[in-house]
Amino acid sequence: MELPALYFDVLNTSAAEGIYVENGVPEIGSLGAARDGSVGFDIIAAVSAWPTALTEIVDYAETYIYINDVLAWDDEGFKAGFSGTVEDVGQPEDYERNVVRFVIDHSDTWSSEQVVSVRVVSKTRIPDLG
Amino acid sequence: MPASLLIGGHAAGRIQPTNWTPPGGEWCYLVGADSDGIIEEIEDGEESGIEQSIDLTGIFMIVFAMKFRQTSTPGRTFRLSVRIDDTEWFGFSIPTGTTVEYVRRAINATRFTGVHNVAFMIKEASGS
Repeated sequence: MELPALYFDVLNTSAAEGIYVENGVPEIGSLGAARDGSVGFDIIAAVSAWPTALTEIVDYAETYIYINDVLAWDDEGFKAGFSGTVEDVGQPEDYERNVVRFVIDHSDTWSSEQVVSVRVVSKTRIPDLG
Repeated sequence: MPASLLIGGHAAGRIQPTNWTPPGGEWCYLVGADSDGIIEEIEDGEESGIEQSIDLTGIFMIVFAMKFRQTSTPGRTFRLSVRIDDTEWFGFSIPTGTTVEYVRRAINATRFTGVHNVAFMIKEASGS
């Protein structure tokens, strides 16, 4: 069989605590995405400590996803014109929602060469971290 | 990072690739074959990768750039994974004959303190 290839580079570690939007598909700034494709990303809560009883790190009640400045998702679910999945993909299993993966589909096909913006508003349930 | 395993007789290691422009410079790590069309015998479930022991104390995320070229052999697929202590924390497969490239991928490494084994792996996963 033909051998595949896995290249990797810029292996860095981040020591900055916080909540991040990462692993976008398509990646931020990328070109040539399919017009009928979905938008995906992870909210990563990279935090060092939280109250023992607190298991759900990303606060859904304070999370809002906007696609082209239109609200696509909040704690009540996907809004009209949008669908998709919200999945807790974090590890370890003993803490929930430290990585939350959104995959959002748009009911209409994007226009050719349209720039699609994604704005994520979110916070953790950890006081003073945001 | 030391090359840890072989796949199809090809060593995994640090190279100057001809089929990717690494964002960090001329060199990058490669598992598999840089050139298209390299044919080798691969067993079901065979895997290869590059691994290193890293002190993750105080580290919140592991960040990297990557390119993954799937085999073009019909009916066969490989799965990419990043494992910490043999547990997959990041991974996916893509259709036969396709390629993806990302400037930035991130793994939440919050839970770790001390030295852990971090491995970038590909595994023949047609039977999975």
